[in-house]
Amino acid sequence: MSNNSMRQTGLIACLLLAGLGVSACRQDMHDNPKYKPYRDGGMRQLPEGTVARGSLDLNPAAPKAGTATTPATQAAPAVAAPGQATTTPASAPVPTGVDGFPFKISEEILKRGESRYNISCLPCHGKLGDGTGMIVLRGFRKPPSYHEERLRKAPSSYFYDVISNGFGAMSSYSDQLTPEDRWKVIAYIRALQLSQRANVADLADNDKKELDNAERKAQEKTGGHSAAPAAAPAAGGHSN
Amino acid sequence: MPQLFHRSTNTLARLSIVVVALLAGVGGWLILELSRSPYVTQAFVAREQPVQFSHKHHVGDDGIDCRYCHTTVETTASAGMPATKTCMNCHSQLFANSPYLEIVRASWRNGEPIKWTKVHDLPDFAYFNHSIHVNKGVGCSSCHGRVDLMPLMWNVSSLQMEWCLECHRNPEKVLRPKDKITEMDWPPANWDQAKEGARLKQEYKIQPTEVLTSCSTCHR
Repeated sequence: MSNNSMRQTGLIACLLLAGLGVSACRQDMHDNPKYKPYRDGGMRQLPEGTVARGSLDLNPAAPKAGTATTPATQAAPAVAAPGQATTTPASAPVPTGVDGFPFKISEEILKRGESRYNISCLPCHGKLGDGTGMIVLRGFRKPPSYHEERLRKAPSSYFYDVISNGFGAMSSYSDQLTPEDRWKVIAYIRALQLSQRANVADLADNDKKELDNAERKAQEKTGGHSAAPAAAPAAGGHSN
Repeated sequence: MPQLFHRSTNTLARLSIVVVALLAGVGGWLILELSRSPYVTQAFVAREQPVQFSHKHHVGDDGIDCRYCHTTVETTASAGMPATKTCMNCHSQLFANSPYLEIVRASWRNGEPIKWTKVHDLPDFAYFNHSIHVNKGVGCSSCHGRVDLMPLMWNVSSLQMEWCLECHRNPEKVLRPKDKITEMDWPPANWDQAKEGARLKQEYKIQPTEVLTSCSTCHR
């Protein structure tokens, strides 16, 4: 009897030990001695003057290779530490004084611009582009509103320059936005600018109806408090 | 000569057969449970990080989109661990003198990336690509849970094969519109997952289950 129960306990102990062994052995196959992305931490800061493969083609407005004087510095992200920033021409060459876009603006492009704006710009510049994003409310230096006279008149290439190379407290976003996306964001900024100065009379009939509905809903909800944000996408999204 | 064993031992001997079988069963069950438990999978265990980075603060309180930092999630296999430059976009001004961020500033000064502790560590023999999931309507929170409520990061899933297959067998149960991918409190109350999921599966041309559950889909 006692023999029996000892054998049983022994068997169970073996089974449990085997179980532990099975679950412990896995790590060998889990962690192959091969190199995988981010095994040693986050993205590296790009060495100065690095140009990502294919990034030149992505900028339709960039001077073509061979025609430009410094083609290699295009799209070089300005990630150099503050002390080194002046030692190399890290800034991306941009067309100056150009107020057009390298492609035709469509609704699809505006949608893409909106999504990229909401990812990369909204934290500081705010949903409406008035410079009151959450990060600014937390104490970051307030960026100028897109709706001020100076920026409404600034050419598109000015925005491209600021996104690519940074300006004031804003650092370069060249490593977070591809050249193509930068132009699309600018297109959306133009739509935002328009949204704050659009005439209701200029809207198409169905957009007017949508605006009325949004206003009514907002008034029902809070008594007119959120009417402006509700109206903005309706005006900006359809007027272009 | 007296009998060595009492008559009741006959019953005990028979009973022991059942008991052994039972114990073997319980033991087997224990092993299976153990290998799925957080003790082995580390699910729901918050990991220490070199910097006390809080997703709850950055995502939940500040409302920063996942893709502000994880920039490559829509285009590559890895979602991307942000370079220190991304931290410095804001922290050059905010908490610029905080001792909590000294490791970030040190990394910025000497160009060495911060060595974060990997939380979602898939086995190396499994192929996984973020971009295909995100571009086919699988949202962040479907796998990573309510990141906006996590001070330190933890896993909400086992990351085991049965967990992958659960979804690869029935993708319509998690699909959502592509423009809602990073929404943390998805789905809204009036969202009919059964109906919309089936519609999105067609719209996004999700591969049939035979393909999604084929060995070489994930082991290549």
